[in-house]
Order: sequence, then structure tokens, then C-alpha cells
Amino acid sequence: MNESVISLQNVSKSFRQNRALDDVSLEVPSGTVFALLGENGAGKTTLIRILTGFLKADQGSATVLGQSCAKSGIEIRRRIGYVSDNPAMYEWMTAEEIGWFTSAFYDEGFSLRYHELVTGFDVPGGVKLKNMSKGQRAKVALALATAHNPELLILDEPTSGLDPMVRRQFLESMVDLAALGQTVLLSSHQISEVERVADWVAILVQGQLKVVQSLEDLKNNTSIVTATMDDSSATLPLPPGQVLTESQNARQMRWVVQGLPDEWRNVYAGNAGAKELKSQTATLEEIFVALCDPRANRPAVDSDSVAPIGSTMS
Amino acid sequence: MIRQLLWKDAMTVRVLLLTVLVGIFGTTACVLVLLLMMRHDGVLAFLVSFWFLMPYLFAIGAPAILIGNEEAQGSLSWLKTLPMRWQSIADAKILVAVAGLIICWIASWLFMTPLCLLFSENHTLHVSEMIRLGGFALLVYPSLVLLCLSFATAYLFRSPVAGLVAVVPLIGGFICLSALLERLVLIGQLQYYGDLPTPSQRESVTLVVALLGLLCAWCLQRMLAKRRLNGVSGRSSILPLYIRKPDLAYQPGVAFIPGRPSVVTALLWQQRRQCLYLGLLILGMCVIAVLFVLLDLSTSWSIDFWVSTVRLLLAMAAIWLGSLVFYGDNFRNQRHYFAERGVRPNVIWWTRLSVPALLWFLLFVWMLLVHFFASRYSAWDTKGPSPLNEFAKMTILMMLCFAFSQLVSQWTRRPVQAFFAAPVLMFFAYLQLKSCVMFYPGYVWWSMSSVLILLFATWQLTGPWIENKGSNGSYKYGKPRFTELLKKPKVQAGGYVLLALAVPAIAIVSLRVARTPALRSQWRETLLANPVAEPKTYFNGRAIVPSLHLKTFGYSDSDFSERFTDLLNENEKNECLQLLHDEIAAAEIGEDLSIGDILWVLEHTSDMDVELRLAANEVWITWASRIRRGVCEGEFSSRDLMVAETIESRAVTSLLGTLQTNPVVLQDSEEASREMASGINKLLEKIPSADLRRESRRVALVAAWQIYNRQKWVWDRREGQTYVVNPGDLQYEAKNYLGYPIASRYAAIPYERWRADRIVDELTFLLLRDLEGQPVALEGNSAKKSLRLWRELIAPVDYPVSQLPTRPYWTRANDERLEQLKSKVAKLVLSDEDNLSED
Amino acid sequence: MYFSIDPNGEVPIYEQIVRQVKLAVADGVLVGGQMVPSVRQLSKDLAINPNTIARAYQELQTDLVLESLRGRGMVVRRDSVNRCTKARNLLVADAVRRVLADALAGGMSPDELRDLFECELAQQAATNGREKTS
Repeated sequence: MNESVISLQNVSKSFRQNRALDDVSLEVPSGTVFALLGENGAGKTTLIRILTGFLKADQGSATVLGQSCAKSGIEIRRRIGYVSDNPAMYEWMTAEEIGWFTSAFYDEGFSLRYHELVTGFDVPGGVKLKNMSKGQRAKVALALATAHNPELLILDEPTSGLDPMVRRQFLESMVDLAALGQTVLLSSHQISEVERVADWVAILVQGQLKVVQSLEDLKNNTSIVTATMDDSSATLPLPPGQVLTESQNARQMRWVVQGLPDEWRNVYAGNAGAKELKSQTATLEEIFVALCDPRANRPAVDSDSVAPIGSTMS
Repeated sequence: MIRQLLWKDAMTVRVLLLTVLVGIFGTTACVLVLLLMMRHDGVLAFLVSFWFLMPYLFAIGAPAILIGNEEAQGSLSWLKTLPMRWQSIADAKILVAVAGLIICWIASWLFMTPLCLLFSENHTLHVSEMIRLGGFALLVYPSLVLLCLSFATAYLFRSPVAGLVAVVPLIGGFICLSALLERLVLIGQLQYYGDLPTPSQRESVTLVVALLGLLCAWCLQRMLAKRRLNGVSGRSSILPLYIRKPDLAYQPGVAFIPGRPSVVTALLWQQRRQCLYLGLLILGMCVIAVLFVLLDLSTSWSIDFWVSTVRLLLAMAAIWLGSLVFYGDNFRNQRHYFAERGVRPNVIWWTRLSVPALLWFLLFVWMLLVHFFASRYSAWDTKGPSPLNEFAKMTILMMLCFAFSQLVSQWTRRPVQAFFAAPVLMFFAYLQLKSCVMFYPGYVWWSMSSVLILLFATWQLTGPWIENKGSNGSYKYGKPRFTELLKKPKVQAGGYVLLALAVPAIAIVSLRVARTPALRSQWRETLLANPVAEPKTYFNGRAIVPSLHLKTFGYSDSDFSERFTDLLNENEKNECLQLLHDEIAAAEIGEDLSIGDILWVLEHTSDMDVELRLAANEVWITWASRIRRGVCEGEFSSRDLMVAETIESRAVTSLLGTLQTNPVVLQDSEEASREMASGINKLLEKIPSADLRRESRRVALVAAWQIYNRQKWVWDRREGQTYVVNPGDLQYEAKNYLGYPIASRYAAIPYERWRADRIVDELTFLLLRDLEGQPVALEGNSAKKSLRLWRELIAPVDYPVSQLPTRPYWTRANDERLEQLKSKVAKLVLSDEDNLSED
Repeated sequence: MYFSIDPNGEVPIYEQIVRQVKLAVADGVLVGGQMVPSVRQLSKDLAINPNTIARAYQELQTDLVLESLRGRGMVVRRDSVNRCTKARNLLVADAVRRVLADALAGGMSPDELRDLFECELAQQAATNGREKTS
């Protein structure tokens, strides 16, 4: 039953000379929490806007819930829940009024579910949205987007600038939806949040998709190898596997490596210059920085020929 | 510090300033174009008011934008957090506004002065007074007061539109207050001293009151600025009567509202909440302002001024109601809410229109009431041919105002700007409307299609409007390509505006071109191949029959009333008879007598004075036949022929009348009847024969056609008409057909000239054909068609339509009358002879 | 019981849950027959992906620590205490192994290590004893 909820095939989008998305293909299986990571300006928002039908891709095809994004944008937006990074709401309405107003566009159960959600979120009643705090507004936006039980919830940096309590509430909502079998596409900067809730992770770097993998596989697969040398001018060979970055700090060398075999130390067996060799599992943040840092030293990597790491669900 | 504030405020207000300057410049351009085309003081008078309105628009709009935009962006509260005094903020705003206002006035003055000096010869507008500094100050002062009051209301109200509309009662109050003050000070003080106020004293008091007024306004806005900029944020800024709810320690939770509304109900509720109160406010202000104007009709301003003021107030209200349509959703780009939820654009479109349209309807009802009561109870009567027409025109104008401004309100970047951009756009649209209506009165009905186009435009563009997020989010390098520009919805909106302006004109032009008669080239060639002799007379210049032309048909030109007293005694009758006989024998037509003289004679004689009557009619018939012969020879023009037709016809009618009444009277006198019959018989021989009539008519027609084709179209700016200089003679003559000048709109527009040529051809063809066949009935198809063509060619726009000059005479009825006369005379002569033979 | 999850750590999250459940059972915080929260409830409480929770529960079931009661959820097995104690001891052993490896690699001599160990053990046992009696 794991059909794709979102399917992107060779999608590219340029804005005049700026290439926002470059040949991106990915599949989001249903019932998962899919995290989209990337720097500001990497193309996450463009991707989401293509998925919601606000933008048309230059090349490639995008489908959401089986419907083409280019043609059925409005129908898609009706079926899914979408919280953008600056959700547009009518600020002069109170929480009750906007709930009542929105229930016109959805099914019968919307009102009750919305009420449950906002009560659970401790949103004050009778207060206009423009007089509420930022976190309360975000909660109302989330409640509006989830109260109609959408099959897919798309969140574009929903918790940026919110306090930890509110963020926690957002995470709980996301997780609750996932437990019910619905799909969540989350675009975020909060890597610690992503590590908690994501099943799958995709990392966009300057419009290109570098990683599409389940979080577990990604973390298991990526290691950080440190080697201490006798002499700072000595050179050491690269560890086996796919080396993402290399850096040197006085007498220590550090590599971020993917697919490190178990017998990796054999490479340095004969090398007298390498004294201490350690490897540890990389955290998601370290993986992200390794992929996205423009100033990192990437030894012998031909980026065009490297396909995105990991498997897609096709 | 204040420099940065000044810069920021200048950036905020620059769009409005540009709009207003464009309006001023546009006015100038239009005036220039129109004045180059025709000299008409009406143009200047009409447009001068717009030159003044533009700076006033700025005075109202600048505070609304300066403060309202800040509010909309939320930057006012941000400003309050910065370490600067509120005085700096307020100073910066008012300095920028005053500077902008001064720029507007300077632009207005610079553009207006040269045009007025160059083109206004008669000082009906008191133009010289306006241009002088003193006169100008009189106009600038109220705008300064308006600026201060506008600032005051903008500071007072959170909602920028409420602040805008609340200026109106404030102005009214201000005027009343200052009038009251002036009266109190003037009368009160000086009565105390027992003197009547002298003009200089009055002037100085007025000056003092004016300065005081300005000071008061400035203080008011300063006070309110302090309250707004310095006060604790979150406090309700509306009147202190509003009781604030106490802040609860425990906030109640969200209440559950059962029941789910339908989509339409929800959207209508939302639009009602957004704009009903503002709309009612606008409506209320319009009502109050119009009442104020109507009740103040006792002053020395002209009726025209009041009519145009009321119309302007109604139009502005319609424009601002239109601006409300998309205003609420544009505020802070809240419309994107619908995009995120996939709501269909159609239902959004018509629910946005619904509430303002309802308010427009109320405004329409108010307009009807105003017209009705104003025409009943005051000196103002609805001008023009029919009041119904005036209502219809005003309704269409209000519809256009609404339609244009609702499109503008969808696409202005900042919501409040819609309230100012729409009037400027409507101004240009109105200019176009008015200039087209000058040429084509039916244009007003066609401009309904503009309304439909504009409504279609917003319907079409509602989808992109909802999805437009305001700021794009992803930045783009480089300049946009042309195809990209075309896809931008704002450009499309502009295209629709141009379409709305162009379609009625195009429709009318194409209809007119389609209904132009076809070219009859063969007939033309035949006619050109057989030219007739053209008269050498001119229309306005020396006429060869001066007494016929210069002396009109009326009594006033007859001096017989001074010479004779009712023709009662024999002496007078003989004298008159002698005059008549002299005229009959005279060589030149109308040497001693005029048409009016003959008319006088006929009116003052009874049917008993057979001799006089016969002689008078004989004069007419002689003239007529001479003119006809002269026309055939190229001595007289078609205008002269018309005169001949008239007098001939009248003579026949008069003779018939004499015959019909006389037999009763003359039963007693056989001799008289014999005399009369033979006299009339002799006259009958003098009446031009059918052949002569036909030939003279044909020649006149063809000559008129030839003259028309020979004359060149020359547009004389000073007179607003076509004038032709005949070579060899410095006389001016209007391009005419059958002696009547062609309507001026034909000369102004090139394709209309081509059209006029065709109409002249067709008309000539029709009339010639009717001449050669049987005479036509007055109500027959052919006669109707030629009448229609004639009215198109000749009748000016606003005057009641004129008759085809040939119409009463070249008809069957006319001929039948002549036949009737002949048969009656024949019978009489026969019976006379019978009588004689019997004797 | 309360979980403390470190999403950034070396140990995967599901493994952390498994270990903490076993430790809790070994310490007596969770007793046999006690219900553990449902997958949905626990994922919401911890703000962790339910699949992770499900996997942890799956492993605990395989390790015969939890058993599923039809229609009611997961419950701690009554015979799991011994297994969990053994698991805890294994974890301790792992930790000791790692410390020794680090220490020896760092250059401490076995004698220094032994002395350190004896010293610490004596201190801790004493405080533990005092806690137990007080």
C-alpha cells in the first residue's frame, strides 16, 4: 500500500538566469514523515510551490495524490493541508470566526475537529488574530490546515521564529497525523526536530537533490573519520567509500565519509604517518553541513556524475 | 535622523505624487490637443477645475498613504520602538506632505498659466485673477487646511479608509465654524464700535480668520499625532466613548460555533464585515455633502457650478465604492488565504462585488432623488432635451466610475492607493468619454460595453489575483523578457483598461463605416462628364439677391407697417398696388420690396381685396420663375432656389385660399368673379411649368454637388468649423451642401470626411432619381431615407434635427396643390364662360 | 515512566527506547503486567516518529520483554526481569570495555587503571551502602 503520495520526475525550474531546481526526482511514500532540508534559497520553497500548483515547472512532471500539479493546482490544494512560512489569514477575524469561515470550504466534521485542536493548543477565544502572539497565530494556521484530515500535510518552515513550547506542539501534531497514516512533507531548518520525527530525508543543495534516503539509513551510512598525524605536513590517503569533505586542523585530519566499509583501517595499515584513527556516526547536522558548505574541500568529486545518494521509492 | 525619516516618507508618497503629476500633465496635454483642434472657451472652463482638483487629491491622499500604509505594513509600531521623538516622525511626515503639495501646485500653475494666457481671450473665467499670486493663494490655502485636517483624521482612525472618508464632515464642520467665526468677529466686533465693515477691514479680518484656521488645523493634527505616535500601543484609538473590555487574567477558550455555512454565505459574511461600514460611511458622506451643496444654492455661484459639483460628488462616491470591492482582501495580501485552500475564483469574484454593488444601487437611488427634488424645488432644471436622458447619462457615468475603480482596486500594490489612482484613471476616461460624446452622442450608450469589459476583466483576473502573493519570494536576475511581461496580470489589467476605452469608439466607428453608402462610381463619372453651370454667388458673402437673403421672412423686416396703416382707405390701397406693379415690372428681383412686405400685404388684406392679393401673389410668382430660370443658367444658387420654392408654394396656397372663400362672397358680384378668374388665369401662365421646375431643381442639385466636390476640407481652429477660401476671393465659405454647412465633426475626423462625401453622393443620387421619376410621397421610403441622410450630414449634435429643405416642396402634395388650383380655376373660367355665354 | 531521548547521539532513537525500557524493567520502574503507552500516545508524548516507536516495540517484543495483549496494547512480560537485568549487565560491560580501550589507547598503564578502579569502587560502594541503610 505504499504508493507515492508525491512524485517528482526530472523537475527543473529557472527564474531568468537563476536555476532554482535542477533535474529533481523524488517520490514520497504515503504514511511517512518526509523532511526536506536545505539552505535558504536552495529551492525548497520553489519545490513546494510547484507541488501546490503556484508555479509551473519548466521541465519534468510533478504529481500530488495522483493529480498533475500543473493542471489541478486548485483541486490539490483543496485535498491537502498547506501551511506556508507566512500563512495568510484574515487578521481581523477571531479564532472562532476564522474557524467558522473556513468550515464552509470543507466537510461537516471540520468545525468539531478544529475546535478540538485550538482548545488543545490553548488558543484564546474572542481575540482578533492581529492581537494574538506569533505562536498563537501559527497554531491557528496549523489547526485550519489539519482539521479537515487531509491525506497530505505540507509544512513550509512552520516553526521558524516560534518558541520551544509551540514547536513542540507542532511536532506532536505532525507525529499524530503520521500515526494515523497520513503523509507529512516538512521543509525545515530545525535539524533536531527533523531527526526526531522524520522517516525520510531529502537534502537540496543549490537546486540539486543530493540525498534522498531514509533517516536511519543515512545516519548508519555516514561516518566521520578522524586521523591524528605525527606531522602536519604529512599527507594521508583518503578513506574508502565516498568521501564528502576533507578538512585539516594542525595535526588532525577529518573526513565525512559515506559507505565506510568495516575494514577501513586497512588502508592506513602501512602508513606510519597516521597515529590515531577514529570513526563515529555522523549526526544529521554534520551531514547537512558537509553537503551544503560551499567552502568545504571536496576531494576528487565530480558532482555532475554523482547521482543523488540513496534510493528512491520507485 | 530626520533626514532618513524624510527620505522614507518621500519614498512612500512618491507614487501618489507621480499619479497626481501625471494627472496634471495629462490635463494639460488634453487641453492642448483640444485647443489646437478648436477654439472653445468651454474647453478651458471645463478643464480648469481639474487642474485644481489634482493638488486637492494629493492633499487628501498623502496623509492617508503616509500613515495608512505604515499601519498596513505594521511599521508604525516598529518606528515607535526606535529611539526618536514622536515629534520628529510627525514633522517628517508633514514636511514631506507639504513639499509634495507645493510641487503639485507649482506644476499646476506652470502648466495652466501659459495655456490660459495664450488661449483665453475673453476673461469669462477670471483667469487673470487666478494666475496672479493673490488669486492663486486663494486656492492654495484651502488645500493646506485640507492637508492638516486629513492628517488629523488619518491619525485618529486606525483604518485608513475611515480616516479618508471622515475628512468630509471635518471639512464641512471647519467651513461652518470659520464662517460663523468670521460673522461673529466681523459683525460682533464692529457693531460694537457702531461701524459697518469696510472692504479693507473685511479683508483683514478674513485674513486673520484664515490664518487662525490654518493654525487650528495644524494644532489639531499635531495633537492627534502625539496621541497616535506616543500613546500606548494596543489602546483602541477610536473615540473615548468606546469602552474597553478589561484585560482578563484568565482568557476564555475558543467558543464552539455549531453549524457550517455554505460557501456563498461565508464569503458574503466576510465581504460584508470588510466593507459594509466603510461603504455606508462613503455613502453617508456623499449624502451629507450633496445636501450641503443643495441647501446652499442661495449664493452667487452659478447653477452650472452646483450641478457639476453635485455630479462630481456622486461620481466620487461611485468611484470610492468601486475601490472597496477588492480592498479588504488586498489589505496585507490576505487574499492568499483563498489560494492556499483552493477556493474557486468565480464565487469569490461575485461575492466581492455584491456588497459594494448593493451600496452603488443605494447611491443610484439617492441620485434619482437628488435630481427629482432639485428639479422640482429649485432653479436648477435638468438641462438638455429630456430629463430622462440626463438620468440615463448620469447612471451610465456612475456605472463607469464603479467599473473602472473596481479593476483598479484589484491591482494596486497598496490598498489605499486604489482610492486615488481610481479617480485619476476615471478622469482620463471621462475626458475620452466627453470628447467622443461631442462627436457621437450615441457614444454614451456604447460605453455600457466598457462596463461589461471591465467586469469581465476582473472576473478573468480573479484567479491570478488570488494567487498573487505580493512579494515573489524568489528573486530573479536580469530584465524581464517581453513575453514574460505580457503574462503579468497587471499588464493584462492595463490592457483591459485600454480595451474598455477603445471598444465603444471602435464599435461606433465600424458601425458608421459599415453603414456608409457604397460608392457609385459610374454615376459619379456620368455626372462629372456633364457639368452644369455653377452659381457664382457665395453663401455668406455677397448674395446676388440681397433683398431676398438679407431681408428675412419675418415682419420685422417689412417697413410696410410704418408706411400703411392697415390698407383700409383707397389711397393706401392704390399706393400699395402701384408698388406691387412696379416690382412686377422691375428688372432686378427684390429691388424695392422684400418677402416680408408681401407677407404683410397678404396678412392685412381680406379676400375682398382681390386685386391686391392677386398682385402680391403675382410678385411672388414672378420672383419664383425668375429665380428658377436663373438657377438653370447658373445665376442663382440652390439656396435661392429654396426661397423660390417657398414663395411659389405660398403663392399657390394663398390663391387656393382665395378661391375657396371667395365664391361664397362673390356669388353676388359676377363681375368681380369674372375679374378674379381671368386674373388668376393669367397668373397661372406665369407659374413656372413642370419642366422648368424639374430642370431648375436638377441644376441646383447638381450644382450643389459640384460645389461640394470642388471645395476643400480646411479646418479652421478659430471657428471650429470648415472654411474654404475660394481662389481669387478672400471670402470665407463653409463647406456646404445645398448651402447648409456640413456638421463640424465631419471636418475634424479624417474618415468622417470620406463618409460625408459618400453621403452627399447618395443623397444627390436619391434626390435626382426622385426628380426624374414620379414625385414622391412625403412619408414614403425614399423621402425617409433622404431625410435620414440629410440629418446625418447637416444636423449639429445637440440641436433639434433640421428638415431637408427640399422636403416639403419636392413632393407629390405640392404638385397636387398646384393641380388643384389649376382645375379650380379652369372650372371657374368655364362656368364664367358659361355664364357669359348664357348671358 | 519517563524517557529521555537524545536525537543527536550515536545511538539510534529506537535503540535508546529499547535500552531505557529494559533498564526500567531491571530497576523495577516497570513491573510485569504493567501496560506501556500505545505507539501513538508515546510518539505524541515524545514528539518522535511513530515508526521509530513501533520498531522499538517490535524489538522489545522479539527480545521477549513486551508482549501484545489483543485489543489492549503492549504489556510488560512477567518473566522479563531476569532478561532485562542481563541486558543491563551487558550494557555496563560494553561501557567498561569502551572506557578501558580509551584509557589504554590514551596511555594510562594497567596499574594506574586498576588503582583508579579500586578507589572508585570503594567510594561508590560506601555511598551506596550509606544510601541503602539511610
